[in-house]
Amino acid sequence: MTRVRRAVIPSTEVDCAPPFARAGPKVNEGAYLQRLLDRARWLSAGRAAAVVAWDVAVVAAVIAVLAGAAVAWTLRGDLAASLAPVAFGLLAVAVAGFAARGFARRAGSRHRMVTSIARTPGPLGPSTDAADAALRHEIRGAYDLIEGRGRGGSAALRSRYVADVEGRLVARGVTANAALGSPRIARRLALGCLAALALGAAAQIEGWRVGFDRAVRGLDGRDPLPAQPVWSTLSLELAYPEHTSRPARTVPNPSGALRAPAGTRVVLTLTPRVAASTGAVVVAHDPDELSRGAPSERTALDLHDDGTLRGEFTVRGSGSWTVVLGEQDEHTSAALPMELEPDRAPEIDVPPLSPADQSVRDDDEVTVRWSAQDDFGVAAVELVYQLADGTTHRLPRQSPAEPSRTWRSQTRWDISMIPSEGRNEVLYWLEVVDNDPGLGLVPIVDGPGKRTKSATMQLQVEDEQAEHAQNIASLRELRDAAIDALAARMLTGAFTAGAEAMPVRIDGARGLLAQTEALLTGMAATVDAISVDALAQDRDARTLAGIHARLLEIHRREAAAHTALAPGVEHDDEAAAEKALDRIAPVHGQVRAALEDEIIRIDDMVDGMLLERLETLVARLETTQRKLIELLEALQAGDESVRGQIEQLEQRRREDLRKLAEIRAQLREELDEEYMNADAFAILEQMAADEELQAMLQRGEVDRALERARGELDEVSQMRNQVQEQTGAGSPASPLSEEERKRIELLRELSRLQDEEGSLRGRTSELQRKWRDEVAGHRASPDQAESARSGAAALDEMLEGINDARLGRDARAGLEDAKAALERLGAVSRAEQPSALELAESAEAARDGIARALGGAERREKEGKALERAQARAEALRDGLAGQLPSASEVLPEAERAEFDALGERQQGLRERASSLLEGELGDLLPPAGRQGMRRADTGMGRSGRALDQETPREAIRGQAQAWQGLQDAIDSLRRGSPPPPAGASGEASTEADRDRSLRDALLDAMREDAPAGFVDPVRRYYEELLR
Amino acid sequence: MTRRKPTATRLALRAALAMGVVLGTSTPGRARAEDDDEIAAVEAALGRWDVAEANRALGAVAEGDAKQIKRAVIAIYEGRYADAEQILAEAIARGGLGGTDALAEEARYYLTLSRGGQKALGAAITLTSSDGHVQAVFADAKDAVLAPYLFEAMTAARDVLGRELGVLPDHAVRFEFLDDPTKLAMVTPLTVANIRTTGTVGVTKHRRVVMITPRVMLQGYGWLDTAVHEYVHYLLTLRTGNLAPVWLQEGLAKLYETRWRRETPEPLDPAVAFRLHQAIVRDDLVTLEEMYPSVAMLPSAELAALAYAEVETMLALLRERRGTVGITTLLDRVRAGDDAKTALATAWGDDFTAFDAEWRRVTKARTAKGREGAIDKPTFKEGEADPEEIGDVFSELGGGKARQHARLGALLQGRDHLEAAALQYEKARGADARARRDPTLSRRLGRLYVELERWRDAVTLLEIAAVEQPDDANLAAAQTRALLRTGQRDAALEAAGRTLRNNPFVPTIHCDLAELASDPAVAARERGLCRP
Repeated sequence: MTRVRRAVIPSTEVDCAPPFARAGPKVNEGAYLQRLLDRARWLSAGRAAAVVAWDVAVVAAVIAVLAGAAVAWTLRGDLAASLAPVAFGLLAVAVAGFAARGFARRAGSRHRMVTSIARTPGPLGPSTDAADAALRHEIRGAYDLIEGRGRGGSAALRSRYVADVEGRLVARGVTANAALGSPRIARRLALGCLAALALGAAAQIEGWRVGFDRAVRGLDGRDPLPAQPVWSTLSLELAYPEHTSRPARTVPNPSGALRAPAGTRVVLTLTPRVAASTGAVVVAHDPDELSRGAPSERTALDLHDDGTLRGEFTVRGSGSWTVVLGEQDEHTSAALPMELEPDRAPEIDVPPLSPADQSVRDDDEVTVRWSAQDDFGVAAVELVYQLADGTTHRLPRQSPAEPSRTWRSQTRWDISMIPSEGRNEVLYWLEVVDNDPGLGLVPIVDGPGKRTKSATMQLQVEDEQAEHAQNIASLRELRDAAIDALAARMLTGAFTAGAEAMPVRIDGARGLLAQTEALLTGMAATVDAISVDALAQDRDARTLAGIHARLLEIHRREAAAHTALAPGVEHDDEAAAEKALDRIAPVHGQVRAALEDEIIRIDDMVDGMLLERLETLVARLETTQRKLIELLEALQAGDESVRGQIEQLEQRRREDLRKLAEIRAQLREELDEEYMNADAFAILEQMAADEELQAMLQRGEVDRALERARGELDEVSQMRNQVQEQTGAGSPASPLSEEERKRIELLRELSRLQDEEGSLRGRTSELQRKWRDEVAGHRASPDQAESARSGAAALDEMLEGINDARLGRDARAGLEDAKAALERLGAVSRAEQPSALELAESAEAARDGIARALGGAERREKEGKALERAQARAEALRDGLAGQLPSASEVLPEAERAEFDALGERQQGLRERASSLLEGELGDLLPPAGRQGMRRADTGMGRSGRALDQETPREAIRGQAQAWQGLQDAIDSLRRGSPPPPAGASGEASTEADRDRSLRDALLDAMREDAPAGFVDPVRRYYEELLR
Repeated sequence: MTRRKPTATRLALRAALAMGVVLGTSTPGRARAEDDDEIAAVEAALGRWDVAEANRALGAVAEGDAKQIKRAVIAIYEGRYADAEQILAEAIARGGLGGTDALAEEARYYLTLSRGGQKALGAAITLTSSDGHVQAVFADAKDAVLAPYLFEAMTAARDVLGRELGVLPDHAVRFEFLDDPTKLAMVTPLTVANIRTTGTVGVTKHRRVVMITPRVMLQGYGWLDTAVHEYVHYLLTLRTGNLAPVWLQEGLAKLYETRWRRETPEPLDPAVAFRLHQAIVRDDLVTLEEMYPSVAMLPSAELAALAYAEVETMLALLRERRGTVGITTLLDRVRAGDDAKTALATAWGDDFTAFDAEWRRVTKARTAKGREGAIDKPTFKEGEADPEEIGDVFSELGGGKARQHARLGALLQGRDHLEAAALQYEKARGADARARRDPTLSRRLGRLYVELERWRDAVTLLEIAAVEQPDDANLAAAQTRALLRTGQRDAALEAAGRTLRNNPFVPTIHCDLAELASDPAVAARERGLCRP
């Protein structure tokens, strides 16, 4: 253990030695000590530098955290990028300054160094020694002695002391590091860790990362400041268009939307808030659709002497307007909304004529009163009427004496002016035109002035249609009554013993009888009405009369059975009542079974009559549509005068379509029990309204309207030739794809085949006619006539036994036709000199009718089997009667007979062409239904060819008809499964499918242009994305 | 698509380096110098729908028109149409609207889109799924009814498709439901007429799915499958960085559109299978090249259906033979920049010709039983009923007793003699075995029995009808009611699901769901929607 020695040199504090040097001799010893001190000073300097570096890093981290957070909060990366370096620099300098000062204080000189060593606690060597504290002071003392400080004394003693101290230092193994003691780093380490933690934590926060990123990049992350008003004062002078009759007005410092009618001239006067001598006002209009963006307008502002800028623009649609100032448009105002004050369409109110006036004579004069109004002014009123043939006529235009917003007046209409052929059904309406000159973005078609129609009204001059419609309605009521009667009989408990109390059962039975009686009464009235209905078929009246007769017969039996039910019997004698009901029950069953059959017949009658009416309307619609197409083509060619007629036809078409819809609804709406989203109907109506022809025309889409009309004609009339002409008549500029071209080619070839087959049939029919002429005088022998009569009677009996209620509608019609033919056959056979040809043809017609009936029968059931037997007998009868006639080869001259060969060859040629077409490249375009049609056509042509070879024109005609229909099916299938025809002469897409293709073509063209290197794929994907 | 988050160490290092950069360089100057590259980076990120990256890249772009426009585009991608409009209107005004340069065109396009978006959505309401993965925006509050069903379906879809396709969006997928077909034209390049003609009901574009609500379709449509179909497009865009060609997009979308509710895709419609078979036999297929630029642009609906069937069955075969790995390999290769056919061949493990030959062989055999018939086209039903449905709807029964009694039943039903009608329908069924299997008759009588509350009788009949028309919402709703009342709760739930995914606006279905639901919250919700 080291011994503790007392210091030789007393401490200054104790012995009042002066702390600092005084003059005195210096000792030369102490080199070791001085080196130790110098090393300690260098080490201290190193430690100070390390501290500076550490502190600077901590400061950098803290600044980074703070800067990131501040930018995340304020988004001012630009500010942080400027301030952070400054802050960092200042702090770094401060840190360095503090470190330097500390170093200077601790180790600025050897003297300060030894003072520091003396004050530093801790061991001086590798192990602890209690004498180290004293030794530290002795180091200082020795150094003071070396430096000559302290009181005078023996130099040798001083040297000895210094040497002693040095010796002890050596012995102790004192190093500079030990002399300086352990550095105090705990606090710094803690602070450093804290800073690192803060940085790490901040780095986990997305906002801080973004903020720090912005700070590093020096970016200002704030959204640009909203546009500030670029003016200090602004006034708008609104000069309204003349037709509004509004005085001009000035709006100082406006706010909110600018709302004005189209054509309003807006003069801006503004005092710029910024220094600007130029500027502009930019007007952007709202588009209707994304694919139809409206162009914008830019108008320069003029600088005036008073420093204001002035400019003007015209309101033509809704959108926004913006003021930009400066040479480079540096200053921009916010986009200010602009709304179009609508110039509404005029309105006209026409009170309907009184019921008495709605039916007029041709020499009457009708006074139509009306009231018109418009928000800016009414210009004119016209009465328009439309005849049943679709033609429209206008009475002279009436104009007010001076511009007026409301106008109440009347129009006198001389009915005798209506052409006599169109007096059955006259539709009329009034049209009012306002004074709108059309100053908006979308010009008014057929302007100036917007036109509004009143509701369409009807004037009856003569109306068989209404009578017919009423009869159909009566028939429907009759059917419904029959259905009610059937339901009542199906569910009644009157004839079930014990089901209900006797009085109730009796009442029920009587009620059923009364119901049938009422039904029959109504039916009798309807038979009378239909009998005198000029538009009803004779057969309808006969059928209904037959139904009435059959039901009446059963009803009489039931009524007879009811005689046993004396009044009060249910109370007086229940057994008798039960007995009576038992007698009625079988008849009740017969009535129920009869009703089951007759209801079907009546229902078919109703449907049949409605279908006939439907056909009439469709035919009329087709005529209207054709006329419409002609007019649209004229309009497309530039003839604007036809717009009025188009509008009238469109009105008539709408009316016809409305009637069609009514009839369809009458035919039964099968979807009525389903739940359907009601909102969809409103949208559908709106969409339908959007697509009205007139709307298209008003939008200037003549091509589209024309194509639509063509498409509708296609739907309505199925006029294939018309379609093909339109399709093929496209101008050379029409953008036909290869597939379309092939499709058109296929349609044309099919059409040619069909035409030639038709021509062949015509020629064969001519030969048939000649054959008929030759054999027309051929008389049947009495035996033959008798055979025909008996055969017809037997067949008729067979057919009468068939319950036609179990046949389809067409089958029932076939059965009716067969019966009629057999009736005719019977009548001919009873003639004095019966014509063999008439007998054969009647038998043929009977056979055809039975074949149709068989087509709609269930062959496994009684009716089907009976019809099969009937068909066999009818064929035998036909063959027997036809066999008595001389063949064509027997009666026709050689030239005609030779023609059979020529026709046969033609037929064979057509068959081969059809076969080639089907198997060839074009045939691949045919959908499956079309291919089936072609196969049917092939069968028909083969049948025709064989018949022509055998010189049997009738059979050949049948085959030709089958071939013609097969070709028609092929054409129909092609039209149904393919896109609409291409663009017309204008070259613009006019159907949606064409528009699609046009877009596709345009894009493909665009894509063919070289994209920049490296951008080929992105450009391709862009187009894909655009079209996906 | 996922992105790695930087570690704290890396950030600290970056911080130190950045401080050096801050101290030693002039940042604004450098940023301006890199503008073109940054704009390209923004566009590339937007192409991949990576809005976060686009935002980051945009931060480095100096202020100017280009930056404004990109900022607006990003706003559109984020569904902030009003912000986009404001930014673009100002940018356009500054740059003048008469310009024809690409920037002006782009600005005008997006301005129109942003205005269209606002007009289309109006005062829309926005709902977000509880897991935050789906955001549904409804232009009309009435359509908020759809939200829970959409969220449930998308949860299932996210789960299964995330595994199948190997990608999950790290943001909420935005669905916008519009209440008018005309509004779809405001936010897509389609015109109103296009939409009506093609029956388009959903579009995925600009990082959102836009759909028409089934409420505005007469009898609804398969809206949930459509939503998932669009979701597949969405995922594929993210997964491949928008590099998948049309045929691959549509093929996978078709393949996976029902994956959320069933393991295997629904079998091909017999009419489509017939056409596919014919096309393979005659070597008259629509080539993958012909499907470009859009399947919808093919000349006819038949060809479009054929094209869909081709690509769906191709990818189904790949998945069937090579599993999910096959699909992910395919997508990986496409993302890596391979041509999609090459990528398919890689995933298949042979060349494309070999795959094509195998696909033709397998598909030809599988489609051999297809039936010729009309192709269903999704259209907006207009005007009157199909003329063929008018009058005698039982014409398919031919003649005979069955047809007569069926007609009488229809006539009696039309006059509200329901019991008598049911008797006649039963007579018709008793007359002919074919009539007993007839779906039209079964449907009529089944629904009639539901009306008469003869539940057990109804169940059998409605099952026959549902085989023919599984997606008929009205039929499925009737089936739900009948099954519920006969205690067949699982089957009722299945039928209710069919109703919901086609037309959740059938009011009665919610009454039944309220009874079927095991979750009290769901039951309460459905009770609220119940309109008996």
